[in-house]
Amino acid sequence: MANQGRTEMATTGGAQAVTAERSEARPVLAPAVDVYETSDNLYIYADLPGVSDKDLELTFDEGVLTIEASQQIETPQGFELARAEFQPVDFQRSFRLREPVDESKIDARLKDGVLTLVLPKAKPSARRITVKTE
Amino acid sequence: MNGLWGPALAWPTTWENELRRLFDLPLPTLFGTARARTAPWPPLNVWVHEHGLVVHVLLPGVDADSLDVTVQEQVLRLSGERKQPELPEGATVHMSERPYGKFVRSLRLPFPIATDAVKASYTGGVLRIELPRHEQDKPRRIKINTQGEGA
Repeated sequence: MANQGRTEMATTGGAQAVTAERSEARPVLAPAVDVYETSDNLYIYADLPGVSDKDLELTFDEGVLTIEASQQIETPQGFELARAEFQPVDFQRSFRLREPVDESKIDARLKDGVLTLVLPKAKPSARRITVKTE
Repeated sequence: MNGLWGPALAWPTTWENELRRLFDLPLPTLFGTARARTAPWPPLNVWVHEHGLVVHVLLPGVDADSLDVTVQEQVLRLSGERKQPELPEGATVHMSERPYGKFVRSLRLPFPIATDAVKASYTGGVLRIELPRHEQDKPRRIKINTQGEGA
């Protein structure tokens, strides 16, 4: 179960799900997220424990935001695993954004294993068309 | 290695999850719903060696000051609080999957611990606890009291 990518659920308004891909090497898990929306921004918080910025990749392509990350938790040398409630995973999750966002102003921060994304909504460019009279 | 404490490396555990809000909610995208209801939070791995233990706990986004790790009578107790980020004003919540609130977990350890030498660190949302084994197995010289000769 854990070793297959997940098709994400759709949500209202801000983000809609896209599919996640399989990974041969490690289980792929969709990180737990919170998604908030205001009139100006979209906020995404993702739990990525054991992920550092060099193992995190964010892509934004044609309205689809993808989070990919690899969890790195070292194995203590010479120790045996006596109780296992988690195993190292690759994280992957994609969101189709229903509203256009200003790609150049996406703000991403990773702190204590939590990724915070702020995506400013693109302002609709209202253009007045002047009508020429002959 | 197994011979040390034999196959009876049983881990009698006492879960005292005071708040398990996450696991009272169906989480179809995280695990299966059934598993999510029973899995204790935060998840931890325990590594064992004849000289001690290492515990890894997945705890993203927790204020380190809120974490409390104690070892008493061969029981490791871990507690803390994970707070929800402040909602921007007028925000609509579309998804809320991350667990918040206070948590407590207790774990019975397979041998006594040198409690003075326990170390804990928190980086990248992972709590690492080192629990060296108590030096109780060392032979100890026992002082023999003699009655005072004049008594």
